[in-house]
Amino acid sequence: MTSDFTTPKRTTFGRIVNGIEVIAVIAGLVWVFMLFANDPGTGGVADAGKPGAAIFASNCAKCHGADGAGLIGPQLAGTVVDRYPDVADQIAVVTLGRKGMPSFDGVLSEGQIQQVVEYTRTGLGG
Amino acid sequence: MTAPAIEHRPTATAKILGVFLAGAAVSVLLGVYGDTHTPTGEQPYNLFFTATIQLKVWFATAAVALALLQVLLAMRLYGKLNWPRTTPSWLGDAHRLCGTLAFLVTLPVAYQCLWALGFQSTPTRVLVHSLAGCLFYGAFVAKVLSVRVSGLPGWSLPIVGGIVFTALVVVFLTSSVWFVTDGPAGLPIF
Repeated sequence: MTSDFTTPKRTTFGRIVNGIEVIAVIAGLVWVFMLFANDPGTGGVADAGKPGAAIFASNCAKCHGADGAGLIGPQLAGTVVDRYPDVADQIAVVTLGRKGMPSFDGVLSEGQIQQVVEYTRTGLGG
Repeated sequence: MTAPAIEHRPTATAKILGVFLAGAAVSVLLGVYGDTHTPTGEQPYNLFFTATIQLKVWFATAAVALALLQVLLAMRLYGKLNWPRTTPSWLGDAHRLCGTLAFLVTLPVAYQCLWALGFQSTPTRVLVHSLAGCLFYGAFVAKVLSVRVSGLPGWSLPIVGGIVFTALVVVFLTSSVWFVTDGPAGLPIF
């Protein structure tokens, strides 16, 4: 059994595939280069001086992004006040969790949750 | 009088071991990078999508679809499927094309994962996703080498190809499928 699927006689289609494979190899090399060369960015939390900023950076930023623009989790900056006009509703989501959003009950104190919620509503440009 | 030169050719076992070690090295290096690199938490690109996560979900879906097609084509090449009855001459090239395109569409997804999120060990879903992502690229390298290196046992390519496909499906299930079914934002419509 041969482990090579390439056809012995190279067709036009085969040559095109060869070209795409070369592009893929180059793309792979560029990909590795970019991982190391690309500036990691500021990675800083917006308005880091505000209370709740540090809590946001360690607990929320990995899903919602350092600037609250969203990553796996939805964008918070500029949207949370519209989504949760009543701050108590947002506190409930952070405390109890919701779908992909984990519960922070027992992870953060009540005061910390209030601080981080307040930060998302004001420090991120709520 | 000189002794006749003895040619030392690597055995099939040595070759397959080399292929697996190369793949393992890639997986480990990606894991180490993801673990040591400080995640930026940024969205480096959106292309025509509203957010990077939408791009990732759809690109990962495209990668799995292409990989599935590649597996089907491989099954026909190996005679495990009997349709079409006669094997078109371009089937091998189509198989290569599907795999190459699948690899290409995974690159922007994995870049954002490694660069912006890094290797994460909690919760379990994310740990499995991180491990499978690293395994995928290592297995992919091993698969490419398996195709290129001659004299490997016949079972090696299907095994390595199966690992590549399985790893990709696990990555897909623990990210895109999770995001659509249980994620915070629901179905990502671009």
